[in-house]
Amino acid sequence: MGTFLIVDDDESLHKVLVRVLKLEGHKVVGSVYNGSEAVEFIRNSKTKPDIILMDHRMPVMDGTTATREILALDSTQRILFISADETAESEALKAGAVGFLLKPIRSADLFRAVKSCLGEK
Amino acid sequence: MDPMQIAWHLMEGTNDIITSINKDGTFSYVNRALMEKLHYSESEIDTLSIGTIFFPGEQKKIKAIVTKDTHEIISDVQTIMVTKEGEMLHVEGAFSPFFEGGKKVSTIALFRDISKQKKMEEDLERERNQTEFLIDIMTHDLANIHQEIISMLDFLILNEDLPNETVGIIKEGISEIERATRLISSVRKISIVSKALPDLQCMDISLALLRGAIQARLAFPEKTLKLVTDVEHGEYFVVADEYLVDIFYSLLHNSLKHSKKKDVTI
Repeated sequence: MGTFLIVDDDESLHKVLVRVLKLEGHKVVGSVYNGSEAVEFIRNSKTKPDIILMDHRMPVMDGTTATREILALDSTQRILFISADETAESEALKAGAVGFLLKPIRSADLFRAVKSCLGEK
Repeated sequence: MDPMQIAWHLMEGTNDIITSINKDGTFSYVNRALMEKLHYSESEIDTLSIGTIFFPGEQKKIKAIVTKDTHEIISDVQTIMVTKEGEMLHVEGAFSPFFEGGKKVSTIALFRDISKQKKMEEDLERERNQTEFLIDIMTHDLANIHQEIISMLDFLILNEDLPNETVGIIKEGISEIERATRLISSVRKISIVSKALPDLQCMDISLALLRGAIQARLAFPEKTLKLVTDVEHGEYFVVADEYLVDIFYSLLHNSLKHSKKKDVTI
């Protein structure tokens, strides 16, 4: 079981991801809607998530920039990208993301990636 | 006809701007086209200089060319002139140094009006950016919507009480959403291809064919695909980009789609 921070500008997607993650007994400890809010969450929250599910294209601050800033604050964070923009993959991995899933993803693929991330930690 | 007269008629009859620029930035000659395009009268010619007819940000560049002691002809220089009323005129020109007694005395410059071409380039760039922006929004938002639908359908499948027929229908629904996603992805790829150079690499044609076949097979879960080929893995390599896989996918997808058989051999 793991704890999650969901970073995506689509509110409906938050609800869906919370449901999907619950299926495997995971817990969502935070929901934010852009990269800047994610950085602030990691800076201020006492409860750090095991995995951050990060979108790339978001207002205010994109996922790749947020990834760099979060890892500068806490290099132990595991950031897993879920994005529709496949051209962002190499940039995300270069920024320090542990994985990249292309939307739309099947629940089974998400669980596999999560299991792999939690195993690494 | 005297060659000097011919030259004079050419210089005064052309629509291109021709000038003789002194080292101090004043003009010893300007042709009719310059006066017409920049809206000056003959009585104003003596008041003209680099400082009056070139855009402020361009004046340093022009001064550097006319003061440079070189025999070299400098061509394909894009710069901006300004009319008497302050409107910009994009021009492309060539500068030819004129020497007397071994000393450079002036620079003969010929400019072609490229304002229309510039405006078309700017309009095209704006349209491209707008199209790319709309495609990006479409890709992003539709991917999120597809994600939500697929996740919901994944939930339904988990219900063990569902009849097999219903599970089959749900799986077909998921497959159709994945097809729609591939279509959106293709539209985006085409927009990228049209503006960027391809990222070419050495590709194993057998592997590209196999990857295309796997994708095409997933699009038709109710059919089987038997692919017969005499191309062996590691046998043929081509220089291509990632769209080679898309080509094979599209060919095989069409074959599967239009074949009435359940077991398709290609």
